[in-house]
Amino acid sequence: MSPSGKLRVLCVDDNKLLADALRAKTQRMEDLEWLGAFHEADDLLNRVFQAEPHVVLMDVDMPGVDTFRLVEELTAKAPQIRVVMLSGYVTPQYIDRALDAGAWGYLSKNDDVAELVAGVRKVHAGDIAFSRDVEIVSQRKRSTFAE
Amino acid sequence: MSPREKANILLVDDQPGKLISLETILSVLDENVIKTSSADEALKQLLEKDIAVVLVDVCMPNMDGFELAELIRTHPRFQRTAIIFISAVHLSDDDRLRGYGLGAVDYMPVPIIPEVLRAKVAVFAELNRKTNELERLNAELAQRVSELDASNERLRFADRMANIGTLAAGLGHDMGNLLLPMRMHLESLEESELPASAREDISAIRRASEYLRRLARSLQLLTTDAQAENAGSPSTDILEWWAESEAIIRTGVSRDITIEGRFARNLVPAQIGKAGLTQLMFNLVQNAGDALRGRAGGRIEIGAERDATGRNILLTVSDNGPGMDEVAKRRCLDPYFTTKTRELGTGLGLTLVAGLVRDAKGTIRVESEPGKGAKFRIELPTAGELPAAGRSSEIKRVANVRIGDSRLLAHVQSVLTSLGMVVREGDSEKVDVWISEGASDSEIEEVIRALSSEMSRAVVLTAAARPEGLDERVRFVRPNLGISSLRTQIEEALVGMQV
Repeated sequence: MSPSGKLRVLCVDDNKLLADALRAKTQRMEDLEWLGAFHEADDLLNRVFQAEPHVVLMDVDMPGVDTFRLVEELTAKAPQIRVVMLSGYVTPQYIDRALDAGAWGYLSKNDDVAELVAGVRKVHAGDIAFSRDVEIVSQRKRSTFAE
Repeated sequence: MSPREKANILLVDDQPGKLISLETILSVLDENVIKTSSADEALKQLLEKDIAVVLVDVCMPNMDGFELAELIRTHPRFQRTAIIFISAVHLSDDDRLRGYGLGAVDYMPVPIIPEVLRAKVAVFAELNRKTNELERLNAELAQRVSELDASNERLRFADRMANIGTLAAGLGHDMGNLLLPMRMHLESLEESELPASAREDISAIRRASEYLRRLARSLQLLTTDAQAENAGSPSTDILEWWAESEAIIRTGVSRDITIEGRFARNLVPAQIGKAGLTQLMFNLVQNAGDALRGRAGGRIEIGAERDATGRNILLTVSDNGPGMDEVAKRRCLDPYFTTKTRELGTGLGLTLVAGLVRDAKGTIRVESEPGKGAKFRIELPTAGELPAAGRSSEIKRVANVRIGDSRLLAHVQSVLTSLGMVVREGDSEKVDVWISEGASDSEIEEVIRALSSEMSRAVVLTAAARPEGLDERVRFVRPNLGISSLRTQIEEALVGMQV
């Protein structure tokens, strides 16, 4: 936990409108602390690491970034940072790659806002977070985590 | 090279002796020699067999050689059949000219010189073989060309579909990407103090954005690989699917066509992926819509029920269009079969449907008569049994909502949707849970009256304190406490009512 005791949230997404909305949303939540959003591809690994987030909401298709690789490197470098993919693309291939890379969840941009926030909290609490859409297209969650 | 085919050589002569002598002369050529003793017999053989060359005696009773040749030439099939006249008596130049005038290739005097006759007949037999071979090759070529055309068309179609697919997926993605921040800001606005008129505006925007969200999601469903989806053990709740996909299905047909969904209550999920189901129903509805094009009062009905055996889900798509004749009905699922004009149909929509049904281990059948519309019946295996009552995720999934305050309505709708329920407005006939905003006693009474007839339970949103235990199927929830609190309250109320 940060000195403030809040859940520190960071966003990596080239969509600035989304980042603005997330900022407004998290700032209304007493238990969340908004660390900001990274829109550019440069040196993402180090910038995310230095921001010391608890949870990173990461867009899958950032221009110029292999985000799955980034998640892998981040997981290796700083396992305490938990990444949740946040994407408009919900396909079994992406979900599998994200989970293989070490992501803690996969949320759809078509989700209810409340579900996204709940997903962030769940991941911080040590749980895995999936959208309903994700559960529909991927059997992976059931087979991997049901055991 | 195929073995040499024997050519048919037709001999026509009324004298058996001459027939035998001609046959003997020609026997060394190793062809089929057919002997006939009259023009009638000769014509019969010509009609039955492919004759390479006809040797005709000019002088015969009834119909002579010239008359026979004239008759042969009138038949389109024998325009180029080689005819050789043989004659012992008609040997003047006029006779010869008449013979050639009738299209003879030769005019031979008797006595015949065997070597000369054999040489001439051999040429025409060979020519006939070559002509036949050429015709075979031509037919083969035509077949190849038509196959090539078909595969080019397939390629163009696949290409077009791939382009449309990429476009649709990209569009769905971008819509979702922009809608999410819009929805977030909307929620913030909803939670702040605003005048009533502004709340109504916001609520209208909320409804529009919900519609767009469903559209974005189903655009992606339309382009998901349905086969990959079947790899696991797919299961789709039809009512839930309809609530999500109705919007995209409606985009498949023109706006003046009425689409109605009629779904049985308590349906077991079907064993098919959501994307597959969307693609299959989209194509069927689009097909029905095409049949209804330009007709007034067009109507498409989508239905789902358990079939008679109880082991399958029966999905139906019916229209009141022109219907199909026997041929169309039998062939409508075949690739490239279409009754539509070129710009409408590729002839592949229903083939795709048949493929999706097959992948889901289901069956498809068409019922139709000209003038009586068409009905597609699809049987899909069920995926397990109805969920047992108990937890919130197992709440019966249809809710009717009647709420006057549009802001509250938007809130409640989004809560119910997030609880996995299908929300209907204003239809009190076919629901399991009725959420009503009841401030007055008369409204509460109405809820209770409705419960005793149709509804199984109701949640009443009211700011006034209401006594618990009025009816165990009714729960009271205090509205205006913010969306997350409302969600918790409604969820608890619904779970508490699982009797």
